[in-house]
Amino acid sequence: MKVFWSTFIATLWIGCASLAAQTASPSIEVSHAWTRATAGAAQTGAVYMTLKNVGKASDQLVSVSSPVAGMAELHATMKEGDVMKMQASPPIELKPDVAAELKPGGLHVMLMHLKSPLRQGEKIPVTLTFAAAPSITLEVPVRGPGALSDTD
Amino acid sequence: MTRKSTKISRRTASRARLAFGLTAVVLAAIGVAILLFGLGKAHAPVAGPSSQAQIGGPFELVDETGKTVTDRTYRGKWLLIYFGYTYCPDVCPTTLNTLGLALRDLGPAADAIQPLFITVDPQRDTPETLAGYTDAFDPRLIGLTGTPEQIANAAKAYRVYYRKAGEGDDYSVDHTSLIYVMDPEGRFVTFFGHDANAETMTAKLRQLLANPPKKGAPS
Repeated sequence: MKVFWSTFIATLWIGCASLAAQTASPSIEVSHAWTRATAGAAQTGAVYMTLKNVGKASDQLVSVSSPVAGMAELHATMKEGDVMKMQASPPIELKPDVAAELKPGGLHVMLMHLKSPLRQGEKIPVTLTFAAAPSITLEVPVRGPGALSDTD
Repeated sequence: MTRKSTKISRRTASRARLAFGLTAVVLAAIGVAILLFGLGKAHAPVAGPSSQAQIGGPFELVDETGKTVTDRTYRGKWLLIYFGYTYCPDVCPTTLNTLGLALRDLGPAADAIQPLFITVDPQRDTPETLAGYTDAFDPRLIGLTGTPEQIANAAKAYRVYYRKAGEGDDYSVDHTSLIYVMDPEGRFVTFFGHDANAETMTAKLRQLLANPPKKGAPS
């Protein structure tokens, strides 16, 4: 009987601990999110941000969406000599304690088929979907059409 | 006496030989230095896209108002030419913003400059599209489009590579991302890479504007 109770308590402990681990990790923090105002009648936009995995296990940013755009994708700009190329990016790896930067000239959220121009001073919702962590919806501030960072 | 004088004259001769040898070495060193620096100077601005003579040339395009323009339309002004497209969400706005900042930093000196944005996507970039787009970066920036052939010719003149990437309506265009600086006589002077910042650009342009090339001087 004594053995039964000690086993029962141990199982309960392990169960609680694993449950706690599941809720505490993985977890993603997003900072410095920003986008640019649409230049003229341009149909596309790019959203930039810094992602940090504060959990214990690796995760991935799998997809993105925004109600302001008919289509949103993870894109990467690549430099080959003096030629700049842009293409859809595979899911972005988020390793624990390593910041992934989405910034001009590199990774970005590409917004296509904008339903209306992005206006400076407004905020647009952008939802990030991760492989493990729960999805996050951000309110992304719109900077000037020629902004180079989230402080412009 | 004879022995002594012979000894002295021998010593003088050996000194003279030494002096001659040293002079020859110094002269040779100077010669090598002139050759190296001279060549270095001649080659310095050529680094990057090929040689000076091969960049730029005649083009015929359509401006934001629908008017046909050629390379001669802007003679007398320094040109800053960038090839890109309005559906480009990342690289083009970044580069054009830097260009706009540099123009504003230059103040009245920028009056001698005509910035041009030539599309590599004539299919989607109409004169009207370009008019609204370019004004967002600087009101002085003029967008140029044309038929696919006209764009191909202009790109060829500037040795610009561009290629449609992706399928359907959502294609992007891979393209050379450099800002070309042409002098008031239409000759290539230098270029800025896509990672040049506004300070570097302003400083270089200020220097160029203060020392304009002589008329008709070989480029």
